[in-house]
Amino acid sequence: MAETERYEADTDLIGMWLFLATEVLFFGALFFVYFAYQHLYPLALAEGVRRTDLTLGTINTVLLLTSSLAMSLGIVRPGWLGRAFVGAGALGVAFLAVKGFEYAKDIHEGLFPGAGFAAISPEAGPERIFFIFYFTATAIHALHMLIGLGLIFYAVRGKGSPVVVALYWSFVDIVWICLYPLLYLVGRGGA
Amino acid sequence: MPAGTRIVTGFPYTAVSITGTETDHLLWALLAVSFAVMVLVVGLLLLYAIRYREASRADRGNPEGKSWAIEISWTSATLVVFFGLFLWGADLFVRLDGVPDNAIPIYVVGKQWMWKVEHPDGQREINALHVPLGHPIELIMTSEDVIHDFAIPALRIKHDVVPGRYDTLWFQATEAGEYHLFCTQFCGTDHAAMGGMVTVMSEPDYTAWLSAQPNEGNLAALGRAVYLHNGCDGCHEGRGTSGAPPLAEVAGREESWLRDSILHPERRGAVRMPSFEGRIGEEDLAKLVAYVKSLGGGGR
Amino acid sequence: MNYLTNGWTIRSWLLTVDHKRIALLYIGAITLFFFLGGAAAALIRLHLLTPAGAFLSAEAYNRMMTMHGVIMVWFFLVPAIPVTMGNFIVPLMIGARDLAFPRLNLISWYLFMTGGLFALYGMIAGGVDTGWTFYAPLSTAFSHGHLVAVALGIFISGFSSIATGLNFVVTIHRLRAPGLTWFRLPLFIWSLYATSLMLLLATPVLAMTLILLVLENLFHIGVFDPTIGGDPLLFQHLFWFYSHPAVYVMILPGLGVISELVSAYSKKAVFGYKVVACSSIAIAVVGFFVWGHHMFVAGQSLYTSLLFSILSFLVSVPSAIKVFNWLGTMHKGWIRFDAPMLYAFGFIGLFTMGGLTGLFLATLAADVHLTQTYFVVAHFHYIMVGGMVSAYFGGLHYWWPKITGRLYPEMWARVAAILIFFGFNLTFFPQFILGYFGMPRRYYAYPPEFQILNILSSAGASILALAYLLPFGYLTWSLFRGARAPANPWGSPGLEWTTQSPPITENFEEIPVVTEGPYVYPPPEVLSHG
Repeated sequence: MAETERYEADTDLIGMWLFLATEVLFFGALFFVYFAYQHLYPLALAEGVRRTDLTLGTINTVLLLTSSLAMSLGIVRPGWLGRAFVGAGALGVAFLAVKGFEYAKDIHEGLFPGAGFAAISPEAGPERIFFIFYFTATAIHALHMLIGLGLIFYAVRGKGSPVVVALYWSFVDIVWICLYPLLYLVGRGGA
Repeated sequence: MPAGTRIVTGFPYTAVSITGTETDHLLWALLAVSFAVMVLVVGLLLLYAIRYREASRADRGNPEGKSWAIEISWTSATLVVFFGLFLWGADLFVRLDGVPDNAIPIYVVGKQWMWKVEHPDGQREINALHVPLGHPIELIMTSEDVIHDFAIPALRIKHDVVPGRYDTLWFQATEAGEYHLFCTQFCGTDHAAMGGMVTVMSEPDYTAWLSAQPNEGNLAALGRAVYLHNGCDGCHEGRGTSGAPPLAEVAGREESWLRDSILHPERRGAVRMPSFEGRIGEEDLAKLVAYVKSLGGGGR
Repeated sequence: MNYLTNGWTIRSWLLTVDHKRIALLYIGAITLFFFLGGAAAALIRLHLLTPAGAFLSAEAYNRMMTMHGVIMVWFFLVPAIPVTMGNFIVPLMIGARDLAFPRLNLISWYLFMTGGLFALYGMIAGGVDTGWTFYAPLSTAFSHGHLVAVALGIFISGFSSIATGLNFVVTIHRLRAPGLTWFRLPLFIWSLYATSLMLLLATPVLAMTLILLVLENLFHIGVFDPTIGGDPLLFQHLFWFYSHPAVYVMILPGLGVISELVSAYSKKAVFGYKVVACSSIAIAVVGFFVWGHHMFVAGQSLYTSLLFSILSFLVSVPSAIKVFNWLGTMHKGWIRFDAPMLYAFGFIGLFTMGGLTGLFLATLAADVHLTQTYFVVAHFHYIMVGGMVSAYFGGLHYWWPKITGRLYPEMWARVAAILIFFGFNLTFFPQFILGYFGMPRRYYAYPPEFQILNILSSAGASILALAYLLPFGYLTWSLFRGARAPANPWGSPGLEWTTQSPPITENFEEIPVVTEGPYVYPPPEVLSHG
């Protein structure tokens, strides 16, 4: 077993990079769906963007970026590692809390893209597709954050490599950085 | 399959259209290339198996050294043959894509598990298609539910039939007869039963057949009624500021373009036109499209 | 003392992190799924003996053909060689003690079994009737079956694929023995490396596609729904973006095995080694850019089809290069006809045929006629069964002595290989003709004039079924009664043959140091005089 552990310590980082490559393709497929419909129905999608909550989305972006910053500081200054990771984790929990609140608000406004979807644009179907993308992407992202929180929990207790965890967390952050403009910004200002 | 239908069988099984015959030539060429390669590969395999079997006393001296010349030659030869085949196939494919201007437009709707066909003057068929010999026919097809595929092997053509859009297929048959029509995209329980026969008849026979069928009237004329019923004239013939183009301007467009414009005007950037998605059924849609196309100057 | 005798408890097997034991766990699983998928095939061929269908209802037939496809694709073809021979041989071949992530390896087996159980549950509870391709909107809005269970099973097994691919890539990069440079690696390693890259990059797209499929099927919130403006072709693009590379994932390891076999049984280095190594990488790269050839009649644009056609021609060039190089290897070799080599011969012939018929399908106007017919069915079975399964059996026999420490009975093995070859051709060659005549695929009943060719095909299938049972029989027998194998029964070069058969748990007493290329045999003078 000891030799097993020695092998794994050498190679964990490459393993995480490769895993993140698979994640790029995973989220990439979903972004591809988005871009296909952006091409077909730009107006309906813009209508959808106008109905998302820009304030909450921006708050979440700030929370997550700060969380990533905290984690990076923990890596760069090993003395701060414990507190930095705890801080990053706390900010991550805050993100999820805001997201949960936002979901409740969205559903209350009839934005859940099921049968009872309350469309306002002339092309109701594509607007609903926008919200399918919105809920699917943010839910899968939130799931990845939960897993990240689990990894942070283990790292704080001394198991696993902190650099590997930080790399994963940064990736989750990057996904949000790509999602945020598509869900909250693109087309919002249009007529 | 209905009993007593004459079926195309036997070998060789000739294609009954010009493009179909060209497809067969292409297939024969592919077969010839494949056969040549197989003879080469299997021949060498057998040759080496015998000549260089362990116990044989064949000369194994001077084994090949640098192999780049050999590698490059067989790779280049392969690429040349492949490019030739690609060009031939692509050329024929492009011609299969380009519908001739004088084609007779026939509407086809696939649904689980039958084909509904409507001729330009409203004659309808189920699981059958009657067409005249020697005249290009255009099939404008859609589905009411899942993806199907309209296939006529004797003509060497097929195309998927997708809900939410039009797909077109064209052909010109050269021999009268009855030929299999199959659904060739798996569509559920009775996929295998969703077929029938395509009957190619001489022009006089076809004309006679048409007049003998019950029909609901010319599709374009019926389309005018649908147009008025839905108030389309309000914008497209009104003097107002709607910005809606007079429809004669778009009559030259393809049927799928017109369909999209009606169901998803946003795709044209037409911000003030309402979407008719879910408000007009396939049959009425076909009539509308036929009507708009009829506004163009003569023919297609 | 060897890895088999190092611990007898169930725990020592189910919680093992030894790549060799995990490989055996996988061999058991793969064999099970092969026979389940094969049973479905047998029922299909029996049913198709008569034009109206012999004994299955339409719905039952559709579920049967779907299950055949699902099991064979995801639970046999995709994993087979990598998780069995890959897991066992890769560390030995590169002079390592194990893979880079032994615990991840064990987890991958559990993921595979869990996925398999979900898929099997879906089958037993009544099955899915959409075909293994799950096209929307059929599968999202019109299917009655246990789609979610099966999709979940495939999804979970996808994680197993990703774990395996990740493990191999890191292992090959980091755990090579001293002196084992990239261009000294055996071609089996190159092919698994290329395969692993594809597994890593393609599988996630399938994962997302399945998620979207299940969301639409289960909750009716769907991005492919044409009634809300969704595009069914989008599903096809996503699905085939994975599924086309997947077929290269299936065949690449087989191509690697054949390189090993042809060299070993010609006692000659592989001709054009570097070119063959790079051809695997070329297939992996170009293989990602040809998926649209499944959609030539689907309604994609003309220009898209033109592009995918030319790329599909290009992707076949590296495979052709391999075939020519194998022939070059045999030229002036010392050829033996042990069972693995018979499988290799069969592979070369059948894979070449399958590949050539792929050209028919890459050719645009020809594909319009042939697509969705039995021609396609014959094409991919020539590659997958004639090719991949032959390579699987060839490799299994070749490395059997190393894995089990026993020799298999050569005569029975040769009989099986020959029987498989003839049974296979009788089963699938008639299907090319059926396809040209227009018989569509996935049909539970067909016009009467197609019957004679169907009967020929079914007759071949019965021979093939019997032939596949033979190895199951005599290989099992050899475990108990086979002669004990020496370390290197074939006289092959390669690090795996320098250890005992079966190996000790740590693989090597001492990690070897490599000083030469992979296919070094005694000089001609020595070989010619026995």
